[in-house]
Amino acid sequence: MNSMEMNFIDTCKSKYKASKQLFEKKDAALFFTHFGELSSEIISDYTIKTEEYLIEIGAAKRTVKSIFNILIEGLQNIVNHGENSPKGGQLGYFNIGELKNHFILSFSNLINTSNLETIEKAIKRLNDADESGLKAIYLDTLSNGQISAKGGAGLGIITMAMKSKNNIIHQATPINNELSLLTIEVRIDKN
Amino acid sequence: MENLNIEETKSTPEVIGDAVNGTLKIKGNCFPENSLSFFDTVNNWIDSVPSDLPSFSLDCELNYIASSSVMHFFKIMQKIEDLFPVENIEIKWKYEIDDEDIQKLGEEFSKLTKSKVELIPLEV
Repeated sequence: MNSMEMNFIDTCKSKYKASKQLFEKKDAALFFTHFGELSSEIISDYTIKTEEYLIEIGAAKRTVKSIFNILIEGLQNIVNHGENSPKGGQLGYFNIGELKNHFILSFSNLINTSNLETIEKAIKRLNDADESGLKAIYLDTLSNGQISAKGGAGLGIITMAMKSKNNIIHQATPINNELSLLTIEVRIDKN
Repeated sequence: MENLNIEETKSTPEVIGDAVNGTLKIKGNCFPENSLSFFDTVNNWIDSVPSDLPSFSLDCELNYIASSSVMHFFKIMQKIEDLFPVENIEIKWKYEIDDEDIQKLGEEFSKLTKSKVELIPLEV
């Protein structure tokens, strides 16, 4: 591995380490976390483990369903849209945990920095919409959307916004001349 | 003209298609890694069903469904409507009585399809 690849991965690891600090606060807990490549087996395992854990800690069924749905969308989004690192292979991470009043899911993956503006505009449109506005965007996308070569239809991020009922928080960090690490954080109220 | 039989996994539903009676039942979780490949099998089977069947019934009972699969379900409903007269189509959308997500999805489909979507709550 050359020094440029080392720096790249070190930067991503450093962002991953920083992302977990949120869960070191009082009344916070990190349930599950993962750094590196994802596969359908890892997605199935983590979604089922998360569901079991949330039921065990007494989360409401409605909350469990919302978190499970957001988790699937977030993880499939990383697999379907995450760019490869210069070393090859996808590089991303996710955290699932709680703060005092919220459950939190954060997802990070590499994207081409040139696509960032489009993604940011899409997130802003969702954050600016109220519940009925989100539903209208969802129905419009469902009835007019096309299935992409990767099997998606642009409904994933809308679904996350609808299930969360909170704004989607995002942050992008340039990693090299082409790629940025995009983090999306979704919160679900406990009550 | 063959029947369709796909076994359930953690992330994909059981799919049973009966080409003689014109029924397609889909039950379980639906978040396949490759939704295109999974639904291609189902779509190809629907294409093979004789269009002169007296009726066609789609019976869905889903637990978790990924957004990528939602679009495929809508396309399946549209495909059935292209192949059979609307009055001969029966769509049953079953959901656990306290599962608002799946219930709402059925309600959304009923707004977007020409055929009637019968929403059926199931006792947990």
